[in-house]
Amino acid sequence: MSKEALIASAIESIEKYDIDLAEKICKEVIAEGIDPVEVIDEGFTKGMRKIGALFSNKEIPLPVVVLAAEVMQKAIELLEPHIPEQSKGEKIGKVVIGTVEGDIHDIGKNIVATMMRVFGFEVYDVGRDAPPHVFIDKAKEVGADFVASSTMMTTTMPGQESLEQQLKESGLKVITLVGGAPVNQHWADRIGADIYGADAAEAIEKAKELAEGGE
Amino acid sequence: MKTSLIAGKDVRSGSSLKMFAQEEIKAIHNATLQVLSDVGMAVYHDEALDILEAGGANVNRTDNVVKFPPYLVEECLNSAPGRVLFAGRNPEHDVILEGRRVGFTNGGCAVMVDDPYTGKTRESTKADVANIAKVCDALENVDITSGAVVARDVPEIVSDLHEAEAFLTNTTKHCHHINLVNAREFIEMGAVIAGGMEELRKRPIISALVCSVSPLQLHTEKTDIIIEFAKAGIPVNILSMAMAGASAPITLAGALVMNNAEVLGGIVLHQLTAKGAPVLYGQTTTTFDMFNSTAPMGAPEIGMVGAALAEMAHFYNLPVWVAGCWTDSKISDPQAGHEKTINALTTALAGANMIYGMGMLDLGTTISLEQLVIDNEIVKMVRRNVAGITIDDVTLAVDLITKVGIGNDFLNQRHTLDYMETEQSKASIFDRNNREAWEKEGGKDVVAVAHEKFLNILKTHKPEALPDDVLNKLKAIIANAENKEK
Repeated sequence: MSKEALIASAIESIEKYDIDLAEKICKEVIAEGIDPVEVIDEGFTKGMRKIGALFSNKEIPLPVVVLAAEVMQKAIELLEPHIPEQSKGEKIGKVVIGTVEGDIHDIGKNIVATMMRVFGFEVYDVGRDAPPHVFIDKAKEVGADFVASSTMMTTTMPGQESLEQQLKESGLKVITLVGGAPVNQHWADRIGADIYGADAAEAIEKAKELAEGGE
Repeated sequence: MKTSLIAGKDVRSGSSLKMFAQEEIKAIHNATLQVLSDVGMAVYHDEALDILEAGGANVNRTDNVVKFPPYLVEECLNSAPGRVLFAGRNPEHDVILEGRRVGFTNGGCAVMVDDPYTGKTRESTKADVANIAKVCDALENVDITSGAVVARDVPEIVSDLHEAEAFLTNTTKHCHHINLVNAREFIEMGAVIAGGMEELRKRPIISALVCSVSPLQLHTEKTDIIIEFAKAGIPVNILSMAMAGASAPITLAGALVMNNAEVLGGIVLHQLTAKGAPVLYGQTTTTFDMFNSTAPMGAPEIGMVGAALAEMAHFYNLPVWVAGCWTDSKISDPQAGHEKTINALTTALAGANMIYGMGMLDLGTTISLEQLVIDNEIVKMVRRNVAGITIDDVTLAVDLITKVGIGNDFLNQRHTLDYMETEQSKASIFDRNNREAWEKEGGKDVVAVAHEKFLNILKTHKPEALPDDVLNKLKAIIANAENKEK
């Protein structure tokens, strides 16, 4: 296939969450020696942007987004080894995300993590019931720009406050995000978190703003 | 004329609905047993794992996964009592949960409240817990008082105990905690009021709800509460709130299996801890909205799942608690009216023993006192519907029709007065006036009328107070708990 055709198929594989098609395209890109960066940027990533926009508009359901994101992840996995180091594109930022200590609710956090990947963040999910040091160790390890924490219960909200304090003590320069059913702007202000997101879309919008602001 | 005895009469008393054929009930049960034995549940609690292992479950200490042999589940379902008493400080408020008896209560661990005086939606406080309990105490269709909102203006580690203090002192109805963490202290508070642990066990004026985390997990804190309550012999409500499509299969049948498995797994632990101790089967499972990424609490699915699981609980002979009076609307509007009615009615017709959610708005995050008063009226109408139509010689009234004859009317008949109370629904805040009269009285909508009503309750209603020494003991329990944590 020509490069143009491959790029068009890449978009299609995302829109139709067709992992077999994506694999087929990646194999051909590698075999033909076509620039993988272009196929990612103009193809797969463009497809994900379309998916993201449709979801923001409530035109497609969440499972489509999640499935499309899995296809995207597969494509990146296959093509990344073939990208020369210097060509690797700039991600918007690196995010460490997790549910705080004492809480094992994670669906909301998983949705936000997926959406952040969709919108170009590099996401490191530390899982649930995570004490502050787990977030901090990961943030140090990957050089995170953002640390995002979630909680479903009022009784575990103090974990977000501890995390905020310990991050400050650690000296790490990160932008913090908080979310979860009982969380609100008032709480974020009280504990000194940088961003409160009522949902994934809001969190991403605010994070992007701050990232582009040259933080 | 003689009204002769009828030798054997089939009567269907009250209206009802039936979701499933017997074969379908068995299929749900068997699917559940299969999940519990092949997949199991993760229980993050060492003592619980000991209890489960000693009782015959297969326990893996590495990943905390417990697999339940089917015979064990069925034994525990058998030993759990089919009748549970929710006692009130005032025995007139006692409620029995059994069979197809139907009751209603308010919701439920909300984190926001519509301010009674400004109308502003804001974080809930201890004072709100007290006010809401007082209104619940006054409203005749709220059968028990549940922990409505979280007290966000007190230290988190003892907020549940502050909430308990606030509601226990503002109602003589049974109190069901929905935000419990400090199980021992709450039980102690109940014992102080009841006059001792034995008295509390005989007449439990308190109970608590715990939920699993779907799919198939029991977290440490909640497991603790199950064990404490089982040991104390105080009713505990083991409840699942799976979201179909997210934390359970999107098919409602699969969501039933998930809720059923989590509750039954919890009941096994409960019964192995204390055989015969009182326990409730709980549901708040609903679907998951894939466009808004929310769990809609007013969708018809939640009432259907509640009705279905009420039917399963009847099959198990367990008392059952379901979600049935919630709305996703942020305000008291037609959406709220519809959602609360469709789900309250469906679950009531299914014979659920306690249907909760009165007063809640906004996907269950907010309590509104106007809505609580409106829901009191909705529940009253639902009860009338479920009471059905009584068919007998007197109600068929052929004698009366004969007597009154053709033309004339029934207004002056004793029969009319005698049966008015039981046969007719009575609106206290819903408007049934003609237009002119309604306009003359101010042309108010029901929300405005409800608002006036609760303001009046807050001003005039005085729940029976607890003696000072009891009040002081409650405060001491909270202080000790707070110091213990420090």
